[in-house]
Amino acid sequence: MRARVLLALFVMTLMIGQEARAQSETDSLKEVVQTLREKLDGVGENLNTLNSDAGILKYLKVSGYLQARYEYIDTVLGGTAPNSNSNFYIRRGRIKFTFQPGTSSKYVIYFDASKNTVSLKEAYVELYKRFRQNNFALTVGQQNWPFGYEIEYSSSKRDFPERSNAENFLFNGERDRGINLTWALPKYLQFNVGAFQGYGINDATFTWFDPTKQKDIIARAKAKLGMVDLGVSGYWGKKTIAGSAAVAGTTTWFDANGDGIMQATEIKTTPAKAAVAASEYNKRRYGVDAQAYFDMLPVGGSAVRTEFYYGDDYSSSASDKMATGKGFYFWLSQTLGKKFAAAARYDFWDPNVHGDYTDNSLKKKDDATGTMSLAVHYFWDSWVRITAAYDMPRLLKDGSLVSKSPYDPKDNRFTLQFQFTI
Amino acid sequence: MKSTTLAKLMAILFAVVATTLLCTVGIQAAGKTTITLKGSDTMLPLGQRWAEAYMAQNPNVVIQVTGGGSGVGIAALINGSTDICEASRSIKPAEIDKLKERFNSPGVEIAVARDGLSVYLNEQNPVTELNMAQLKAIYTGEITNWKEIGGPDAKIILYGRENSSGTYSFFKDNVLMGEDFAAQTQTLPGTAAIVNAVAKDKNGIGYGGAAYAKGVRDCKIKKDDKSTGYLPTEENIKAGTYPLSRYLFWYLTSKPTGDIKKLVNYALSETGQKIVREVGYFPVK
Repeated sequence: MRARVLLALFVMTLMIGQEARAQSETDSLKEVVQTLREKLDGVGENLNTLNSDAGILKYLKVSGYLQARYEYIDTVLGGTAPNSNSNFYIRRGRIKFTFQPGTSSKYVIYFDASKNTVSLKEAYVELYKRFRQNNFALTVGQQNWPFGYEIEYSSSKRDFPERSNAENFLFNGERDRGINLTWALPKYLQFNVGAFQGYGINDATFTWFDPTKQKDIIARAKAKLGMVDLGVSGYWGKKTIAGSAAVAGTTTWFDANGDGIMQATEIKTTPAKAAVAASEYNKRRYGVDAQAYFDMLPVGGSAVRTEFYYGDDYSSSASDKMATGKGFYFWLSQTLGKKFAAAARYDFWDPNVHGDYTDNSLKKKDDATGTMSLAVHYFWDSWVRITAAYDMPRLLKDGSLVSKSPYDPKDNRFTLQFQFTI
Repeated sequence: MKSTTLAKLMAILFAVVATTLLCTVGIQAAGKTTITLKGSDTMLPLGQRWAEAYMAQNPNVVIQVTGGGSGVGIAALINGSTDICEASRSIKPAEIDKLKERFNSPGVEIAVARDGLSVYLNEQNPVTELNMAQLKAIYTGEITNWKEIGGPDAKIILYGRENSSGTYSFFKDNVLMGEDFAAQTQTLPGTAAIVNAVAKDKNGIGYGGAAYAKGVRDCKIKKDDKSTGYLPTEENIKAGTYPLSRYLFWYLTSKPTGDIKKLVNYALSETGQKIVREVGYFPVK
């Protein structure tokens, strides 16, 4: 009996001890959990702060592309001119920063580092407003001219190394400073109307100011009709030609025979020149463009793109100080699976339809050019495109002393381009 | 155009391209074909189920399915890194323009399933239905307390998707009518994360695919305050009475051919559409 009581007491003591130890362990665990919870809350708060700080980076988008190029131009060797027909160079090194914190506004700044210079390509603020199915955008700053198809078509996507000759002549630089209002029914129609300085970013004379009071006006309408897109564009502006100040007449004597006597043959008289006032000329461009897409071949999509330009501008060499140019291109493009694509383009440009250039001591010089271009692309991966292109320009008309017409100078161009796009 | 050397060079180049193209086609024909699907997180479980079932029947085909959001999938389609883009919203005109530039094609859209975009509430939440105007006011931050819409006096906690998500775009276009989400909306990476957050938060509200609504309650949606509220059921979606129904799409760069065409046909077949229903979405036919 006594032994049983002692055993029961021993077991009870043991149980109480274990319970006390378990209680102690539970309390200890609770403390650990509480400490961990506090630490976790602290980490959570830090994470929220970090998310808030880093969240702003979500609005920033960096894009761009680099075109490293080898170019060989076929020329007649010899003579005194330096032979620079074979070159490696950077054609375009673009980087664009876009900051869009919401759906109501956007900031864009876009640089180009190529050849030996860094330049500002685009810098604008864009405001958006949506009203039912209508999207409105107001773009203010340095931006693309809202004209035609080629200008807005990125050089990183184009099949050929350069845009058409007509575009290069009439819209050199593709960009200008101004304001542009876009109204879009996104799936079907888009209208643009803008007011611009008119000189473009590549103009050497007027780098940032516009000597004409009136702004140049551009309007464009574009319709999307399923597999076909159509566009019409117009441009109405002025160009100022700087005048010159009056020059007083002068009389100078040079004592040619050293006898100290002024003789009639030693006197030189320069007549006075009257001041020439600055003058303004109309600058107009019109364009129509169409793109059609076909999905008939098993290797991928096919596209036909065409555009017609007509415009007049001041010409220092035209007899009536105005030259009217016209041009068009016809561009076929074929996707060949996921890795390849091929394209061909015929590009016509006549810089002076009326043929009244009088420069180069040639009369009625009128060098219309027709350029056939071929290109093949290999898509190395999602970022790299390798392009081989071959341009074959021909002079179609030459009203000068050159007897051959069409005349084909030795100026074909081969381009091998490696492009990385981010 | 007088340059026989350069002309020969170009001829050689074209020959190399043609040969490489033919070799590529030949290699693909000889080995296993890999098809990639990328895009909508909403469609991820559906894409995975289709892939598993199709690969079981076609051992020579490997299908890789990844999410990231409809926007990510469309970007991948444009840069050529996926064969098929899964999207829970329609492709945007600007994205079509990019496809035209890269692939000379506006792309091909194939509706593969239907979905009712669910509005998730916590199971303890007494609110049972909302109209479209209320939903917009909640997500634009005009209504911030549940008591304003017949619930308890508690702050509404908003959960939403990231802006690369098609569900985000659909909700923004069709509920917010293009307006911005309230700044206090907590963005979460995927519908599963939203469902999880609302399931744990009695004051939470979220949105996403109907197939994910486990552990949360679907809210009835009314077109306006006078109309009847409907749940995102197959019957209501087919009848067009549920205001937030949408198609789920596959996008391709051009008309499908070969193995991709077979996969598309499978997804649209009776078996493929049965999988749609099993996953929790609704068949297109």
